[in-house]
Amino acid sequence: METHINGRPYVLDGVRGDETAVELLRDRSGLTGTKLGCGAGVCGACTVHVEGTPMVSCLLPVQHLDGRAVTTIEAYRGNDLHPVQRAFIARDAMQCGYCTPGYVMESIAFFERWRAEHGVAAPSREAIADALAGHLCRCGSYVGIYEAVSDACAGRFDGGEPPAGPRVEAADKVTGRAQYTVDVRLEGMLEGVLLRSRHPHATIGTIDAAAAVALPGVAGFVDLLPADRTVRYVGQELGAVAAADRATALRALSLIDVPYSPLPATASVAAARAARQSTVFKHGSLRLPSSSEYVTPPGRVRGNLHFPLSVGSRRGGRARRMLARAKDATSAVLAEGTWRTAAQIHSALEPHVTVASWDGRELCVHTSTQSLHLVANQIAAAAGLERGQVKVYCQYTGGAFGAKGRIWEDAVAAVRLTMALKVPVRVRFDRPEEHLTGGYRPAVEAQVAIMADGGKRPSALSMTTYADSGAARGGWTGVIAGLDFPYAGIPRHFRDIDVLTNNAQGKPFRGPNGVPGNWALEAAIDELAAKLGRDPILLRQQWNESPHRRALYEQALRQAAWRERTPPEAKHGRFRRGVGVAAGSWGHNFNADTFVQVSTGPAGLTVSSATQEIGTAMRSLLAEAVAGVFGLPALAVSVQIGDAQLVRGPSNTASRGAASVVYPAEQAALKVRTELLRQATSALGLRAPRAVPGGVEHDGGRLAWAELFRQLPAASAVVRRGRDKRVPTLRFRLDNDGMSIGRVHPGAVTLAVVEVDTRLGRVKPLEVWSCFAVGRVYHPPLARSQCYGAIIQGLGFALNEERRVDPASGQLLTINLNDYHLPAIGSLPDITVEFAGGDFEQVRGGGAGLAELSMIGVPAAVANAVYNATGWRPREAPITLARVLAGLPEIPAPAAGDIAEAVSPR
Amino acid sequence: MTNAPELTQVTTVEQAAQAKGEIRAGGTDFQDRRRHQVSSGPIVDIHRLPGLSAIDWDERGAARIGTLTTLTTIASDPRLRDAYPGLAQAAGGLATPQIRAMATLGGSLLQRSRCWYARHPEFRCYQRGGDRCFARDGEHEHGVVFDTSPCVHPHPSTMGMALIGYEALVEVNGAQWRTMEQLYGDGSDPTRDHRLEEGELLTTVQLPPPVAGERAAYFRAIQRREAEWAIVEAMTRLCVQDGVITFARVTVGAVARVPRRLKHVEAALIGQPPTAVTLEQAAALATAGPAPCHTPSTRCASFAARFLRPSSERRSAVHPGRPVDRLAGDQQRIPGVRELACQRDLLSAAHRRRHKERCGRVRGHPRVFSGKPDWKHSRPSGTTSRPGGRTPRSSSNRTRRPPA
Repeated sequence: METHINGRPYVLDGVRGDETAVELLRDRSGLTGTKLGCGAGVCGACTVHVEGTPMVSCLLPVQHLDGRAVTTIEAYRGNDLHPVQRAFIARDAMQCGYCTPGYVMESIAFFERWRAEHGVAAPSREAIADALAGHLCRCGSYVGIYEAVSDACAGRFDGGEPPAGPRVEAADKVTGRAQYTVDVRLEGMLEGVLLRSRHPHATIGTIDAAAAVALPGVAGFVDLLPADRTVRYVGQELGAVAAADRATALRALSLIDVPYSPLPATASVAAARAARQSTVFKHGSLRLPSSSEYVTPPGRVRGNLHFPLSVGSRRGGRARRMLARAKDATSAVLAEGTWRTAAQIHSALEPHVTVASWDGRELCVHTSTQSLHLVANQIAAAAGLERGQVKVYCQYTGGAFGAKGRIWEDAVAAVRLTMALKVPVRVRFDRPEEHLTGGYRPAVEAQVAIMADGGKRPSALSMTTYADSGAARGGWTGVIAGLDFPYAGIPRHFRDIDVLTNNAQGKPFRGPNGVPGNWALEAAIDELAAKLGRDPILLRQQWNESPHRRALYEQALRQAAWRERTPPEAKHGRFRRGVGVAAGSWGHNFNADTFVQVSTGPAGLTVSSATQEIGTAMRSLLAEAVAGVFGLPALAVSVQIGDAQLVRGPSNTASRGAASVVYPAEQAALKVRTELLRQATSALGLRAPRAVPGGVEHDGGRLAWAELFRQLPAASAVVRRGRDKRVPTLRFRLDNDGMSIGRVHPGAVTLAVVEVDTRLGRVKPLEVWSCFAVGRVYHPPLARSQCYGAIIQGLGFALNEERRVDPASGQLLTINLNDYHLPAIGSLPDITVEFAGGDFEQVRGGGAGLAELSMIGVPAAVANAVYNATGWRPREAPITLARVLAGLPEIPAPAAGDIAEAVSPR
Repeated sequence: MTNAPELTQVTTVEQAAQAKGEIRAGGTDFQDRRRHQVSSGPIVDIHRLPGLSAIDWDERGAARIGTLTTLTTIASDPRLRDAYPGLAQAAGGLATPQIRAMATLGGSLLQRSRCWYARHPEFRCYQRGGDRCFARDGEHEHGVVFDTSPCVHPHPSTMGMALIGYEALVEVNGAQWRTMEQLYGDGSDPTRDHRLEEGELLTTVQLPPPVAGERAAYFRAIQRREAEWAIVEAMTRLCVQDGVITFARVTVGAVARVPRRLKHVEAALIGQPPTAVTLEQAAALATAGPAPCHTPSTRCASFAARFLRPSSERRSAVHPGRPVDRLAGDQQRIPGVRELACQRDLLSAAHRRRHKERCGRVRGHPRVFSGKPDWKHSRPSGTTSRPGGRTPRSSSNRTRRPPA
């Protein structure tokens, strides 16, 4: 059997009967541009052309390629690039880039079909959505993708201009050249697969893996159980086997008879809360893992409830007393209720994956991470090695969102296996594993009460939360709400409780604790506004004295959607439109110990830092920061990241990437520039040299920087970011990844416009408008892309995403993207993002991060919009069709206009 | 070449009927189950069977479709769209474009259940050789509305629903004809979703002659715009003459163990004018049937009632409520994303003055070269860009050696 791949013949020899094209391309042919995302044909990352027709190679049997021609992204690497690729670069139709090859392949096929049928013309959004329905972008780059495809079809990129856009590595992403950890191939690399618990709660005896290791092609097995040999959730890692390929490894695992001694399991929150004794974790809270990214002090444990230290309350006793009295007080207006959120799976399209190689002296690790420096330290510790013996690399990360902020079991297993076998080993989660233990935002139940009795501000607020982080603590919803509370002067009581269940451990997800807290709090405020008969924005503005927040509200009040808002009672008909508002708040976080090195040499400028690229444009931020100082284009700067041996760089967690890295990059560039000017005088004898864009002017003329880099000795500077002067900063270390939190308050206001189909229960987002006060925006086009992505993830949280577990067995039910619904391009509303400045002058660099701020208020705004549309207030996220129909007061009878005009003739 | 004991690629229907193993056509269902470890063992690959991927038309204008025809072909063939509009709409409204290009009609009719227990390697339910249904006492919100079987998951096939509505016949092994009802049975058998025995292969689907003047619509109730397994789906075919309905076929999917024709709804439509009131009254009969479930999925029944509107409005048509002017606007840009990245300073003037007084001077930041053509910087209040640069307060920068 023979196929043609990108014009070259390829003999299909020795393939398995059920092997699919994606394995043939990636593993046998070394064409790693095509990505494996879900393996279920849903995400489209594996899309290739088979005789020009896009197909999902993860479901395409290899035998079906016989006699057919396959084209992959590698075929589109010519000098000029296809108009679609140039459009993707120009319109920033990507973030992490993992899904980009699939999108490019599909869009190229659409472009060719569209041109053949319509010539040079812009397609409608519906036509593009229909064509791209088989693709998902977890980062949420849909805005740029729509623009890119439309503009390419409309002829904007036919002219062959060189590709240009805001993201410096975009050309590598649209050609599939960007190498992710999952693409790394080392000579002799084995495939490691984790052995996972099938029971939600059990003790495990000694695991006899002899039968597995005896299988041909299997190299070894390691036991990964903790000292107490107890598993606490389905999927918990017991050990790992390394074999020639994944199929052999899976066969080997099936031969291992794990000696489980099952224990009673508490998989459901209700059962956990009801149990008197501790059934999930008996060792006290000190050894409980944490699902939070902050270091959370352990607290009291009673039964399966863990009570973390409650901070964030202000005059909490008074608040509770007033609320207790409120029920009797007739003058008080009280809004209260219980709000619930679902667990939200990160499901980054690149799964957790690590390739580790040990040769007896040095450990070389490639891992998909968002915290390169921290993970390098943790890997050294896990391997029992000196930091200098460990080299860690991560050039591109295919999405993270908080799930890859530290070392996880893929890395532990890969390191243990390679150190035992002295052969490179890769451990990669598949999509069901990613959904099972790859991480999720814990579900939260929040009981909120807020009371107003005629004063300028509410007289009391209380929020009690129960977080289900699985067999872990870390629900800090009240604490985060308290720390970032935007409404000053209100007596407030916050209390958090972790409910321990025999479920996989939650992990921080973009705006951890913030999003669920905001869901409840902003809905309660909306409820209070409704009861008081006040405009919800004016009400918040009245409570808020911070000037930049008041300015955000002013801006929101000006929006046409808000001015044209009508109350729920005024809505009628089947399709009802509503608009809702929510305020968002987050902290200003950064790594004071961020270092950036800028150096010059004959080849030009280089900027380097041991940080990573998860889609938040760290490369572009570094390049632009340095390029701006020299007045050169960003592409003239060579960026080195992704290598833990470089000077220490920041994590991309807690929104601290840009806020950490831009300032030292600019400062280091300035130092180098100053040094070069000094040398221009001393070494070249230039008189009165001064820097101008692109070079140096002196009394005798002008020299370009490129010339100076060649002539002058190399210069280099390393600058540490340090902390903000005159900003109270809290600094703490988490696994030696020092994080600083500064007391300036980035703020956001979000308006959402939705249309509710009251007969089907479907909520369609029409518009989202968000305004952010973060001070300086380091790179507006890229910042906007990131905000769009956060808004889209917020819509997913509000409308679609729900991690589901079978309560009887503790097994995960939403094991793939068929059942776990990510937001898709066809449901994209019109999104407007504005930046409103704000007083952040004290912050080094001038601006705070907005990766999480941009998501915080989105779900509550959608819920408040649904209330405005229907008079029914959603209490549970996601707002599914069933919940809407259950909640609506009555289903309206059809009006004459409901049925579109008489059935159109054939 | 390939693992011979594991894979047999057949080239005749006889070989297919005799070969041992699980049948694989396009692979879109098969490979998904393989990858998720709910299928194993020998494979019988039939995608090379000759003569089964054509659409033939007889003298009555009726279509005969080979079971290896892809769904994309069925959705886009102009003559099929004309003769059997509901079928084409259903074929074009399921899954994703890539999957439709690979999936076959036969595979689509015979695909396995999409219950999340049945598709999970840890649950051996009736559908996988076990002896219980986990969904019945577990999470069954995607379950049937009509409880007629020990298995409670609905039939997954959209094409099955459409072909029932078109009263198609299927040919088995090129020799024997059956109705769709005979193919699927009544769904009472919890171990499978069709009644083909081992050695039986679907070869052709025969449609009846097209009905003159037929209008048809397919609708899928899902949360997102497309590419989602149906909560409920329905297809309606109508003929209207002299202002009354003279012909009606109404089928619904994703609510029962087999796709169903709603004959009582059809009967209620005949002779009625197609007005909002009569359609609603007929649709309300949809939930009448044997043994409705009193589970949360009863909600699904109300879906069926609510969207059984025999309208040709496709789910991808103009969304009601969207202002018309937006769509009629400038075709050169996508109406939608308005980039108003306002850089204007929203601090009040008073605050600016106070701030300047407090600081003495307004500190800037060292980006000194502006003028990039595509985008502007956001600057803290009061800063201006002065060519020639501004010396930063480098004396206060502490440069530390990076930690070892």
